[in-house]
Amino acid sequence: MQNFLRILASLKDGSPNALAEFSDEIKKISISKGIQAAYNCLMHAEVVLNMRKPRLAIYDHAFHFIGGAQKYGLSLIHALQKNFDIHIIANKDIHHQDFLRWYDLDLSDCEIKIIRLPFFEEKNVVHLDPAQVSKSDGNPFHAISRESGNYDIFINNSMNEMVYPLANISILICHFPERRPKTYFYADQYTHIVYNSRFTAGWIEKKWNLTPHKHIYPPVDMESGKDKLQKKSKTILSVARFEPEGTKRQREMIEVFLTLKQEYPKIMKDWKFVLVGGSPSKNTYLSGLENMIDQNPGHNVQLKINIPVEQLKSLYRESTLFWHLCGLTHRDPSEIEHFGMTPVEAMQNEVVPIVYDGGGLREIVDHGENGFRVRSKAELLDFTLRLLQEETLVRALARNAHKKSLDFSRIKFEERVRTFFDGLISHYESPGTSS
Amino acid sequence: MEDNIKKEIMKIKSELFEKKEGIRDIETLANKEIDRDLATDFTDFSERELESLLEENISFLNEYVDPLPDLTSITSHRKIIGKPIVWIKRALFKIAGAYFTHILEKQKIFNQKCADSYRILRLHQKKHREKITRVEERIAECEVRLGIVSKKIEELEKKTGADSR
Repeated sequence: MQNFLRILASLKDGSPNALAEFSDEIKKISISKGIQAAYNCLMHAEVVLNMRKPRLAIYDHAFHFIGGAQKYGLSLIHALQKNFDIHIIANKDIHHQDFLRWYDLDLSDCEIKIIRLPFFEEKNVVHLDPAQVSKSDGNPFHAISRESGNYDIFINNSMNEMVYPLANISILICHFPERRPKTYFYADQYTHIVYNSRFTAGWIEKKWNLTPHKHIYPPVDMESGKDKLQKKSKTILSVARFEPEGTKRQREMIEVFLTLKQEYPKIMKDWKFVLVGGSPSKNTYLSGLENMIDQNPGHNVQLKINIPVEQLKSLYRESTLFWHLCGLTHRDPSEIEHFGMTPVEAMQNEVVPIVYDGGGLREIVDHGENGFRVRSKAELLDFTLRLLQEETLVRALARNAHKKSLDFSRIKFEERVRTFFDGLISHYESPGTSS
Repeated sequence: MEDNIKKEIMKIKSELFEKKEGIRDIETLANKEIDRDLATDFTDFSERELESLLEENISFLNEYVDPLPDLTSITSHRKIIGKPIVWIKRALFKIAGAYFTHILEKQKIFNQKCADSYRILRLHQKKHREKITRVEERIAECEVRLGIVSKKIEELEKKTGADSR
């Protein structure tokens, strides 16, 4: 490859005979290293010679769902639209209006390419689960692997290590390494692994024995602005999906709230606990919570399911405390928050967070400075009681929480993304450096 | 940049693209073997991962309990002479099978016991897990009650101290 780069540099400088040398070198590469390698060299040459903008593709097998991971990937390419020719690759139908509606992201300059996978189409599933693929099946994701070879940069956003990258530069965005290296595992073939938290990075090393390359926290943009913040009401807020397995621990939080109400009626007078979250239509865990609340009437516990974003923003603006116990009594690291977007959303609205002491939450909440971290229901009760009786402390923590939340804003995210990609592309555009 | 350079690059790229699109095999495109047998070290698996692995192994054992050959799996791809070949193969199997069966029958019993033992262990483990969960919940409740009692004692002590002054 060094010889190719030398010839490319000569071609860029306009040396005579460089073109003939270049054509010969491409032929040699296609014989010794294969057709894809030769094609990649040509892709590289086009960018170095300023024939076109670099081509970038981002793939996610779940782009047709609303999700934090999908928002991360799409926000990333939103920051890069000016400097790249971008393709969004999905396996099911998706439209620009969906991205606008779900994430407030205008990606109309990006082309959408749908590559259907017969393996999953035959099963007629909406959710493409890589765990359904066994060694005897053949790898259905190789259709995406082949497509990756048509770009200068290929980004795999999909928590799916079964896509083999063929592009010159390949980036695996790891939100958490769920799978152990097993059938069709290619995470180690990517030139860069980007991760969302130090917690995730630690597990990439433990589970995959790989050192990830670049840390970029997810973008959080629930800021209301100082002028919109209302006078705080006596509201404790929780925002988390109502997972059927109960991993977000809403039941435990309701138990703590009810205990507070029963044991400290004067302190808890007029306080309400509002639990917001998304849920599938049939959810026995959620039904269990509803029964629990019905059996304890008059304690002002409210469930708000699948509410619009504006209503959620309003709840953030008025709430005083934010509870988040995901990770309590976990039996697997995947049950702990890998980052924790909703506590940051709360902090952006000066809501004091009390969160589980584990996972990515340790990188968001600094105990005693901008909130509290707890390891049990008893500690949650204890710190909440303290805050209910110390208004000055609440105000100080709320201010600090807002200040800390600025580290995770969309502006900061886009700056970090652009800096990272500017570095990658300037290296790529300079002949004399390896592809 | 000169037009002839552009044209030449576009031409070569177009030719390579055609060739590339005709290659279905990823290993050919990557120019190396990409699938490896990856050894797994279970020692740092989480509780949930170990349970999941145990369930997988139990399913595997259940599928392969019977070592005796299945005669319906004997087939032939040949069109004309396939049927007679299959008939002869099955006949030979039946004759030889009479000798192997009494050995393999013991193996089958052994396999069944192994599969049953794994299922029993798994059930045993599930019951233990449920017990541990109940104990953890009770501990959590005790911690909460202890916290409340401690606070009330503190308040009483403060009140008593204030009263005595």
